[in-house]
Amino acid sequence: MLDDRELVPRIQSGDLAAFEALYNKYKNELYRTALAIARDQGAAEELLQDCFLRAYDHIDTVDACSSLRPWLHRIIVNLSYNWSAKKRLPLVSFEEVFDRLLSLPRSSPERAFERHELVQVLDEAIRSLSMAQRVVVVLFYMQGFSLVEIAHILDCPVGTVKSRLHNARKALRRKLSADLRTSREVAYELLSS
Amino acid sequence: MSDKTRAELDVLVERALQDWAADATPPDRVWRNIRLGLRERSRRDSSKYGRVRTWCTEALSCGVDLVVSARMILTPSLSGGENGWTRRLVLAGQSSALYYLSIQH
Repeated sequence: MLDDRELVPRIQSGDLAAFEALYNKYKNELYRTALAIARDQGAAEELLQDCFLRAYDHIDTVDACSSLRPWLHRIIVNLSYNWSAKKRLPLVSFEEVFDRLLSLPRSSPERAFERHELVQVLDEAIRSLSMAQRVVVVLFYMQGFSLVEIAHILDCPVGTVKSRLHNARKALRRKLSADLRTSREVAYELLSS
Repeated sequence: MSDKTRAELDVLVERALQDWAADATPPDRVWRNIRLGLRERSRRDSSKYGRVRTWCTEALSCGVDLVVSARMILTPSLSGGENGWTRRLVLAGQSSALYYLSIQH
């Protein structure tokens, strides 16, 4: 796979093949980031498309010696913020999610589904976080960015990133702990997988 | 909540996020749309620059005509007198008759 330092000057001189190589290098992780933030496949596709069009427009402003990964994430996160502001992304209340899950019979033979159910609970738990917390959680856990890198991507102080991550973790723990008490084995299964 | 439970929950969240959408890949149409978008931008830019270029060429041509004309009119003629004026006006691309008459009066 080509290094960004080789690709950037070629793209800056109008090489479309180099731009396609850049797209192929980052498309999956950027798509997953958009999908995790927007929770909408169509929106994620649109965000990815806009991200690369914007990247092409501003490629001249990029420092050819640095990796494009944080820069591209910065673009897609900003686009996701704009998208969610326009769509007024609805937040699901945790009470609703847990009421529905707890109403399911625990002794049902669908034990195998519990793991899937647990992942779904996490999915909905993350969905219920505020946009700012969700973005930090996705960049930190899913994409493995450091706190400093996230601060650079979001253009905010590291302390803000830390506090958002701390609050997000706290909210997730609080809201998940009730359900984990009832499916301890599943949790261990997931932890040891 | 104990520290152990807290740590377990953190790992759980991390695993779930890493597993979630781990196989998700964008469809081919995304790249096709990006290429179409780039082509459209390039076409739009070239037509925009084309219009600007035509305008600039016309303005420049007009300016050159004015400078050449002014220079011809204002440069003192070696022969002087009426004949010099009319000659210069003819050289500047104008009909001599009307100007000759107006100068005479």
